[in-house]
Amino acid sequence: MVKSCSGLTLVETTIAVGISAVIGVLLLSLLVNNTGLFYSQTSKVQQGVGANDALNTFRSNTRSAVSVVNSYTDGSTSFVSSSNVLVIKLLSVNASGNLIANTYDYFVYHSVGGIFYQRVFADVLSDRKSGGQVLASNVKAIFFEYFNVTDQEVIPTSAAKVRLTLTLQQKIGLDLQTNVATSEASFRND
Amino acid sequence: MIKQKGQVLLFVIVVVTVILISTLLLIAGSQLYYQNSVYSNSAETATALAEAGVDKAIASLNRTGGTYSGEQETKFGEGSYSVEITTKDAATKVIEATGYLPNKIEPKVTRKVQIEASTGVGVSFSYGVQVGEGGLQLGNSNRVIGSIYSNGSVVMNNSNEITGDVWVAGGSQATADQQTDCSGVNCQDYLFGKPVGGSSILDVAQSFVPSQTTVLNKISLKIKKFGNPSDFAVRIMGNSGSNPNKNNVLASGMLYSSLVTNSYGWVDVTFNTTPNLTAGITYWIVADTSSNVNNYWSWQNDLAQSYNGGVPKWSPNWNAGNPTWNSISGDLSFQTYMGGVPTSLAGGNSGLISGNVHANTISSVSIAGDAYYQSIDNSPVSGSSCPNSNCHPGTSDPAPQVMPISDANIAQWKAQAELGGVTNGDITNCSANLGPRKIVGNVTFNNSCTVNINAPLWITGNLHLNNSNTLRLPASFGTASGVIVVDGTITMDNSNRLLGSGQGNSILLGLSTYDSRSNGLYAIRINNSGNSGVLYAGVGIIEPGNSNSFKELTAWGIRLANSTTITYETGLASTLFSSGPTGSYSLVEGTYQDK
Repeated sequence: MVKSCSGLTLVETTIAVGISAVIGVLLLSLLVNNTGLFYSQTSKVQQGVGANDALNTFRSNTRSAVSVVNSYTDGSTSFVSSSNVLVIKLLSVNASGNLIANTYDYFVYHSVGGIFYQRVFADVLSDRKSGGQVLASNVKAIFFEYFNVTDQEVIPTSAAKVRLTLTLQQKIGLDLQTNVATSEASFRND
Repeated sequence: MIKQKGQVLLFVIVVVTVILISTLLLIAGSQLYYQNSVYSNSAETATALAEAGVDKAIASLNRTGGTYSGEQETKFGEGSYSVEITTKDAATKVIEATGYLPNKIEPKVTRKVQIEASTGVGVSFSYGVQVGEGGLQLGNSNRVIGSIYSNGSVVMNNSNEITGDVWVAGGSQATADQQTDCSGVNCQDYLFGKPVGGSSILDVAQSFVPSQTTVLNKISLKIKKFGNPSDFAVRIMGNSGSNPNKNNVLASGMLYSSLVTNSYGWVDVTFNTTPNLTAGITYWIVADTSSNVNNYWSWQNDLAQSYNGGVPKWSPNWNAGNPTWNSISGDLSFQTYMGGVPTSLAGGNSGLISGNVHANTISSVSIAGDAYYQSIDNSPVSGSSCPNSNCHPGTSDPAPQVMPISDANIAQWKAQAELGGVTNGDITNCSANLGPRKIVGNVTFNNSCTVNINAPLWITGNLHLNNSNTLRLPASFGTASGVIVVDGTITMDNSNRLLGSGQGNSILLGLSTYDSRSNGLYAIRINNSGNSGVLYAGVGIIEPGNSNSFKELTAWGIRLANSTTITYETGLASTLFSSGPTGSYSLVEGTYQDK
């Protein structure tokens, strides 16, 4: 008498395990790639939003500035306008938001340790607050260019217009992700 | 039958869920980025709309004579703007313009900018006493709390004190050495400081050949402006191959926009130094502007080419590596005044100058600061006779200073006063209000008369104030100032006051155009005690009398008598004169705010 037993043959089991392994690897790969893509794209979005906000702040304050100034010294720290530092002066404002004649606040834009800063040095009469603000992080480089009204490149103190090129760079996995944004603003008060 | 659980299916469900969630988050992030970028772009568009509103406001203010009060919502491009106008003072309007995207009712983005527009003329009184070639004479015991700049000699009697610096410039000759002008149809505009016919005509030059070898003290250009352009540099350069030599800049100065109006007038330019020029050699006057399509200049051009000593040229950039110079047909109207007239500072007994002194020749005065001179006599410097470390012999004569009000400014005030109406005949009654108006005749106020002066007021005859009269600007002038222009003389007896509105640095300026240069008679004479104000006589002499107090005096010549005090107010360095309701509005530099 032949005894009948239900079950899988070795071949069937091998095929089933093989198919499961392939599906598992594919799913895992899909998961890993998706996660990488998610982080990569999220990073790009964050960089883009950060760059937009930084450039908006730069444009708004530069537009209201009187001029670029050669340098500003705060204690032992000097900021000198150049291709990677911008020092502008704006007329101070009183508590009512009105301009104070012949009194200036100084705005410095510069990058230290991958952070793009705006520093405000307000006059004692001004209602603006002195202090620093992080405009963007993961900054690889900032680059200022200075132009006159005919778009000829000039020295900073002769500028009627300033262009900022902001390069953000972040390591995502093994890749370096770079985002370059450029904006410019003309002085309305020069 | 064997029951088995689907392990793979569960795994698939987990993975798909994770992927789905992360994909949705990614889409949400992208949407955020997109919206952020769109908002940034929209914000710039809204700012541009607001600035369009400012442009519209300026045009409307000028078209309506200043009665335009703003607008609620005006569609423009893909959005709209609104404008609010508020009056800051008699000369100044505050324009607040808001740009909306897509509209004011349901805006997605709004941006607001604020700027001021003014019909006023900015005048800078930088010294307590500024004197032209007629020089300054001080009697006894006068006190100037501030500095003195004189283009002529300063002579002091006894016990005078000056708390600031004293500058005595090298003297100018009375008549122009070289000059050209035009008449009738030969007078044409030569526009520069903007693109003209596809060319950037920014730097314009006129050559000349002096007839004598001496220093150049000043030049005058016949010029007018469109809009409100910025001051520009004027240089005296040598000649190289029939063009200005950029490597041979002999002197630099500024032409101040505030001295120029929208009608032609002679505007003086002085320089940082007084360069030595040689007779028979060609030199160039070079105007150096920047481009602005709305705010630019016109130099009067004589198509008859009546000047034989030089030619005009233009360049897009005089300081380029290899500048190109292009010919202009005509002669640009100019005057050159040579120097070489000796000037000096001579003090009496017990005279004290607390600051520094700059003069060719100094004698008989105590100087607490430093002394810069060619020769010095009987004048201790910082407590001891020269030489000491505060003595600076061999210093070149200071360059003369331009008067703070030009003929063109005065002509504009007169024109605006006349638009307010004309009164023929003398005025002798005390009236509560006067002006803006041209009065063909004399104005005399006897005693204790208080008059609101709605400036500008133009009196073709003389202005005579007896005792205790007060002329003041009405409160509506705010911080703006006003002027009474008198073609004849101004005389003030005792205790008369010229007052501003009482707000800020507002002043009422008494200005006489009387010419004292040939007859030596006074243009403005003040008697004794209690008179006050700010007085100006660009080609006349002021005699400020005894025991009076003034904020500032400017004249071709000043003869201070005894015991008068001049207390300079620093606010006078930026005085804004109302030109009346008919002046054209232009934006005030430095008042733009991104709100």
